[in-house]
Amino acid sequence: MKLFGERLTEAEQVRRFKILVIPHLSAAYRLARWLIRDGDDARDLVQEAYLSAFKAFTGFHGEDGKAWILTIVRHACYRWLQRHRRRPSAEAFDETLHSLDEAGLLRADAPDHDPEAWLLQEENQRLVQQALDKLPPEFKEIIILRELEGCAYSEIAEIVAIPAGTVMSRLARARALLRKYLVELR
Amino acid sequence: MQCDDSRILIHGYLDHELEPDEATTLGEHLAACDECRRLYDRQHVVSTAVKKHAAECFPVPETLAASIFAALPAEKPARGGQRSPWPWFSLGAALTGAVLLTWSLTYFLLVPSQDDQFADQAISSHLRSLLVDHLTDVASSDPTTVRGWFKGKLNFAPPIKDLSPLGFGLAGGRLDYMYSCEVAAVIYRRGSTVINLFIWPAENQQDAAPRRLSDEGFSIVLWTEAGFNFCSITKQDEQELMKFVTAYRQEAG
Repeated sequence: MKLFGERLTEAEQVRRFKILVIPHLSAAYRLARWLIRDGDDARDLVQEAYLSAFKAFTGFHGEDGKAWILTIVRHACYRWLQRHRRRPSAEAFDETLHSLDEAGLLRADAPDHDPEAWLLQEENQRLVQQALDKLPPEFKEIIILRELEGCAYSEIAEIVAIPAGTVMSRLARARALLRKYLVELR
Repeated sequence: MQCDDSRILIHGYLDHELEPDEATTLGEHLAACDECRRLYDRQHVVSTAVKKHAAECFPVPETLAASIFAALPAEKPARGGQRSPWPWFSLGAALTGAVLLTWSLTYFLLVPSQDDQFADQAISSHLRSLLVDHLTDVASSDPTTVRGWFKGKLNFAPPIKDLSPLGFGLAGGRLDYMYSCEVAAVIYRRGSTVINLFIWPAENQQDAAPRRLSDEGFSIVLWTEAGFNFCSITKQDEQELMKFVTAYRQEAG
């Protein structure tokens, strides 16, 4: 095994990439698919992202490429969203603005905001997907990263480029909005 | 603790991200506060539902994995001067035009660098099968079913063994490729461990005792027996794989 600091050959870099980065392809595709919604575009985007990731791979020295590749894919998704939607690039995500009724969201849910066990039944798969889909990207991604990809808060902070301390409060808001949509869409 | 704080900390609690003393304080609050506890229960259901209903929505398309593998730079360049780049190919069956995948133990000993290329092939095939949710073409724990499935698809009959009494469950079979040659992939599981066992014919070869190819991240064991070449691979778990190989070789075909 080569020591850190010794230059790896290209073939060794390919092997290292296959071990550290390729295994996260499913997670990368899921994230892209949820953010940009189109299957073909997501596939093309992830393919390009992986290839540019490989070009930049000599600069990666971590133990696990998950947060690294998801950061790259996420950036690509937001660039795609800017090009293909009417969302102006100048508009930064404003937690309070996009939380609608901020105080309301974090108050106890209204009595009928009670998902209960019916949510787990098969026929509600569509409902859950629709509610998730409705969320603005910054809320959608944090739920995807936490619930589907099992990312730790520290990983989420790295991927989404926010301070570690704000992960929990953004997640709280995202989840509250999701609960609201779940009940509304029922 | 105030409910305003608890309503946010609930999420850290749910996600096992709170410090122990924070978690204890929150736990005490939840025990005493009905509203917050209901919120916690509600969110627990929602998180479970999202995991359940959204996880399988978008499986990775096969073409994506394949195109990335194809676009990565080639493995080490072919050795000059030989008709075929790999020592594993014997062009003995020139009459039929078929290329047989064989290997010579003596070649192994002489040229250890071939190990890396072989390991790459095994790792690529193994990863591909895990990535695209394409672990099996035929999913069955019955050796007869899996054997029957391979019939007609390969020009050899891979031995399929039932190892369930020894803890390794047969998950199924799959057609796969190494060095562009068809091999049988037989998949076994134990707990969360997935083992791919690649099998292909060993023409005119002596038996070879199991030997390990070392690789970061993966455990690979190869052997030749009873007219077949075997390559078993799993994610880094040397011990588990050796148990599997021992179990497999002990079990009558």
